Amino acid sequence: MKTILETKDLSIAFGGHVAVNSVSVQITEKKFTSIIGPNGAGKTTFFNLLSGQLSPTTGSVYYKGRDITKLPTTERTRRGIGRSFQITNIFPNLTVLENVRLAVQSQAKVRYQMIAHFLHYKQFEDKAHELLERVYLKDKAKSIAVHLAHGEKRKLEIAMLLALETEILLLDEPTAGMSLEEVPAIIEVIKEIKRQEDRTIVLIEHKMDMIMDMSDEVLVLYHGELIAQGTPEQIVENETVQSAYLGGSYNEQLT
Amino acid sequence: MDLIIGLTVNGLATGMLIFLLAAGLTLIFGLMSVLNFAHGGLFIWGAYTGVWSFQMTGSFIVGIIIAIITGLLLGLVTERLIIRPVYGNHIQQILITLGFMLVLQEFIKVVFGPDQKAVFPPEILQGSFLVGDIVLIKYRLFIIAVGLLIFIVSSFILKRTRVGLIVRAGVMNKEMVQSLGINIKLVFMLVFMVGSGMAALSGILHAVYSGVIYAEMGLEFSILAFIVVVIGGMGSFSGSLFAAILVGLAQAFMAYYVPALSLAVNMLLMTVVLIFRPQGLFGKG
Repeated sequence: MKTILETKDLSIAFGGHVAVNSVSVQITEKKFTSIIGPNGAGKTTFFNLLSGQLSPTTGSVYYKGRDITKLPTTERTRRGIGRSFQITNIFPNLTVLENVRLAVQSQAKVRYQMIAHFLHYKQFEDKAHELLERVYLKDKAKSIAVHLAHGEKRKLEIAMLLALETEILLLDEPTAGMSLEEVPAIIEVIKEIKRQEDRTIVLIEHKMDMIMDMSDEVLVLYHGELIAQGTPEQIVENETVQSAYLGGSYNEQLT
Repeated sequence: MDLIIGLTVNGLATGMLIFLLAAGLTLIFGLMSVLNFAHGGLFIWGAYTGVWSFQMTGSFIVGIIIAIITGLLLGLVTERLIIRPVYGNHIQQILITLGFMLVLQEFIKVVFGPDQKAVFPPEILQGSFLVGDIVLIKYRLFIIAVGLLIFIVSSFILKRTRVGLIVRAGVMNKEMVQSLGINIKLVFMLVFMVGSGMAALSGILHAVYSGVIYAEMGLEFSILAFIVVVIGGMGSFSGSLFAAILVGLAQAFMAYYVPALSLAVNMLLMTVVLIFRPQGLFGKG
């Protein structure tokens, strides 16, 4: 089992507030890792450090053994770390198809033949249609993204993320703000990805049943610190986690 | 009737010139959130270098090409040296671009001298067509044609090409474009250069239109462009065309019927738009 993404003593402080405190983790290649923790535990901040939206105060991030701490987001995406955002991040006034096409074309290695490929994006559109089909959005291709229902926007976002063909997918609370009816559909999409693809997925979520069901490994953050790491079963049994996060009541919920 | 048509052509020509200046401004603002007060400086440099090479070579086409090249190069330098260090900070942007605007303006006087210069249209564009009893001044029609052409080509690039899609997406959501692994800095630079080139084109066309050039012209004319950007909606390309024509027409008709109001009318338009639609006529959000 190879480590694909690793942090060493990763910390970030905003003023006096230490949002992520000396976190060292190893994320295994092609596994499904979830990050849990109460609100304000530093989960999204940790993601921002992994994807490059934020630079750490101290510590480093390694991707495939290389130090990427100083690389900007763009470069990290190119190397293989893609992420989705807690607040839906799409291009509101483009069509669904254009949204995905943009993601597809950003991956195309034709930067030095820009003129030749200036107009020809048939291949991109085909790929985009294919991706939309996979997230069950095919019939919405011509809609303007802003008019989609919330759950559909989430699916669109995932289609864009898939288009990037990054080895790692960082999913920041894909069910955030969703109505109860919409949740199963998105879980289905994520499961599909897990089943079909050989990718490393890191997920931030609050929906416990979803995490316990899908994860190979769970990380628990609490006040910016990593307090536990293990399989879902180990996490449920872990007493530190129970008292800190689950309040001792999760076991009862489970049964 | 002929009067109305004459005034309309006037208004459209002025509108197109303002559009060429405002289009770059609105894209630069929409994509990069940069308030570029140096835009008028690029306009005036386009005007002077264009007129100079037009008078040296006798070819208006050469003048236009030199003006555009000057705009592109100055745009490149401005973006790298002046704008790049102050991304994300509006106060610093206003101060440094306004300062740079003055530097560009005063440098005109150093290079080309402080006096006003008279400019005449090339022979082929002098005079007018007579359609019935309506007089259509050739050079004004030429400006309208150039403006429309630029609008159509730019719209095509924005709507139908890969780079265009990136620019449109970037106006909506910069962070996400970056997360897709697209080098937005390169796109910024290109848009800034194209915007500057359009400003310079507007400069040379305006120089011949008004028949005279002077260093302060850039600052004066760019105020109209800012008004147009506000009316049309920051970041909206079609909005800037619509608003520019609106402002051009309003000014042309007011100048004839109520001359005292011809300058105030633009401010009034802007005020009304700001009261009822603060995001601009075509603005989103």
